[in-house]
Amino acid sequence: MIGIQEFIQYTKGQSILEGFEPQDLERLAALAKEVHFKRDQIVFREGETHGRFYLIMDGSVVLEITAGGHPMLLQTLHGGEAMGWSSLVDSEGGAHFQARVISPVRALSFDGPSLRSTCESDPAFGYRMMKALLTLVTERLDASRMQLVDMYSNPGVARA
Amino acid sequence: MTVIAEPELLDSTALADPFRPQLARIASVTRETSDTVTISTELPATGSLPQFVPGQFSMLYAYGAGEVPISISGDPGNPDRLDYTIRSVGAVTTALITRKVGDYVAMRGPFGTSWPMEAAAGEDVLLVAGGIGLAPLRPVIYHILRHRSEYGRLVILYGARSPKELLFRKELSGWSKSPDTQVLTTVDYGEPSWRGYVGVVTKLFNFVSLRPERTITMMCGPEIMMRFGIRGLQGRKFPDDRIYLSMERNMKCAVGFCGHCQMGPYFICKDGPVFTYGQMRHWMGDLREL
Ligand SMILES: Cc1cc2nc3c(=O)[nH]c(=O)nc-3n(C[C@H](O)[C@H](O)[C@H](O)COP(=O)(O)OP(=O)(O)OC[C@H]3O[C@@H](n4cnc5c(N)ncnc54)[C@H](O)[C@@H]3O)c2cc1C
Ligand code: FES
Repeated sequence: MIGIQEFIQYTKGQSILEGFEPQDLERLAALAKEVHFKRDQIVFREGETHGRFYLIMDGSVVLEITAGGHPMLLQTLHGGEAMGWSSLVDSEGGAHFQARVISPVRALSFDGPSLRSTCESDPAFGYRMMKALLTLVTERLDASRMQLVDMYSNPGVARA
Repeated sequence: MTVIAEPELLDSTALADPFRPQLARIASVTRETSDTVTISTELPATGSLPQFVPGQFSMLYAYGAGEVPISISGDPGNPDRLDYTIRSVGAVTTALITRKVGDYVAMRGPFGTSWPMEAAAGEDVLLVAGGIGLAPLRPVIYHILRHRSEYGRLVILYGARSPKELLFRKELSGWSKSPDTQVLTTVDYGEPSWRGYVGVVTKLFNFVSLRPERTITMMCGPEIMMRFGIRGLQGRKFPDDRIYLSMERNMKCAVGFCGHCQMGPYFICKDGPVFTYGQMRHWMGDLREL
């Protein structure tokens, strides 16, 4: 648990919390735990059910996957971003990617099942939480689509 | 204050004979990536190369292959060289990138409008580039760094598919050490040794603090990237008329005669390639054009 003033200060640049009411922040602060990860530390592994949701305050993490025997970096996450959102939905199976620290991370960590049951017991809070989550997932989906489009393969000359 | 010539002062139709190519000698060839090369050209004898402003392009002719528009990627402050960074995608560009030092290349131009160097004076400048799109913006960077006190903050956001496909890597690192300059580079897919950002270039907007009303944005890259970029800037309240884009269309004459490069009411060769997003708003985003 973290004091509310501290929580507000820690989460200043977190766009995911923008639509939240003061009482929502109090609920979140009550569930939050400050955690630190060292460079190259694995936050969670592919396939692992880690069950935690993180708001990164400082530092960077890379999401990676092993393809054809080689690790491939898919996305980096930095201060002000969230990680581990799948722990907030009742999903089967573990993480799809491995999260590895590339520069020392200070983050707020939330137990996924506890956060989920808070959402269930207070639907108004739950709605705002899921709305924030959906915004996050939409951003990630858009970014993945842009990567899939392979934007740089054609520098943009439309054949007239 | 150094004033860069207005686009109209270099109106391509006013060139002595815009259809007459000039021969230039390749003085150096630099391999940038597996498919991209920078050639630096000079005039064979005494004489001077045509003056250019950042954003302009030349029509480069490879004998037996054809002629293509290529932006000038060199330093506008060095009148003895014209540099071109060329990515091989087809017959002409492949012929051009296999030229060697001492070979000749025929060129027409420079043609087209410039990046808004005057409008940007005193303002912060945000450059957003994707892939080969960094090449047409490189003269802007040279110009600003040469006249550093005339501009505010310089922020360069650059995205490429992978670390191997990043252009001008050494220069990027040098530029990041210049005063009041921030360079952020991202790749779509990284290798384990890559320590930079991984993700689309528009995500980099989150990591710079910019004042939309005091910033001139210049963007160059594939049209689809620019569309996503514009959406990201609009979400951050950047005014449309302070966002400049370099547009690309297939070209033939390059001087507004043949209509080959028409986009809505504009001829990209003559009215562009640099436009404000305000001008292009109605003509971009047509998926049939991709
Ligand atoms: C104003 C302007 C400035 C430009 N500046 C540069 C520059 O600085 N450097 C540079 O490398 N290019 C630049 N281009 C693009 C360049 O002109 C084209 O890549 C070139 O015309 C392709 O000719 P080609 O004969 O090699 O290929 P083509 O035979 O015409 O095309 C071969 C194949 O590649 C595809 N193709 C064509 N163009 C591209 C492309 N650009 N990217 C990917 N696939 C393509 C075609 O659809 C075709 O299937 C610029 C274009 C314009 C209009
Ligand atoms: S290329 Fe002929 S009008 Fe533009």
